[in-house]
Amino acid sequence: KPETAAVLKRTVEALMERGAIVRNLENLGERSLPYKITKHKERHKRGGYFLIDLEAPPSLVSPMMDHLGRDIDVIRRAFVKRPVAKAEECSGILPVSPEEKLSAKKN
Amino acid sequence: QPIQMESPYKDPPKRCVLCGINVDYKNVQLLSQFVSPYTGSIYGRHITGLCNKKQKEITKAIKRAHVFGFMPVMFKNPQFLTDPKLCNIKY
Repeated sequence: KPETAAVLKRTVEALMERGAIVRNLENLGERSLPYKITKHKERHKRGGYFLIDLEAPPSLVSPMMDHLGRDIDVIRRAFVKRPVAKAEECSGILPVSPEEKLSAKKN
Repeated sequence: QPIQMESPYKDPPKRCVLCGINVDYKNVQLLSQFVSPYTGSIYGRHITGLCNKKQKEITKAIKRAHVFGFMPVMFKNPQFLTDPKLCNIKY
């Protein structure tokens, strides 16, 4: 557990160094991975999942992926856009007339 | 004189199962309900019965979960095998 704390501290410090604003850090728990992952010449079966909420310019992504790739304790890294909480306007399944179905329009 | 108005006997538009539910790549349980327990392949629209938008969202979320290491690829997580059935598939 002190190792995971050290890894997180390292990552957050590296992020702040490059000028990212860290909003939140969530621990999604430690569980056994869905499939065995080979990383840095080691076959991993269990891992801890962490989610860092941050705000940064897009030029931060590539150097950060590089940095995390070199870290031995990081198994898999990824950047995802924060999902915008837009208004739920699901209008339901609209009935399609048979003429529209037969026309050659694709999407 | 008859007044022109929209038919009051029309049903409200049919809603799919996920209408109004936020789809996230992190809730593996929801995503696993649209995946085959034998092969782990994603069910098509004719099986899940979802609307266009939600089917696309689910597919993208499942592929993301595969890559990020949240959901197994070749099978369904045995923890979620006894979930309620949402897709009309006969095994």
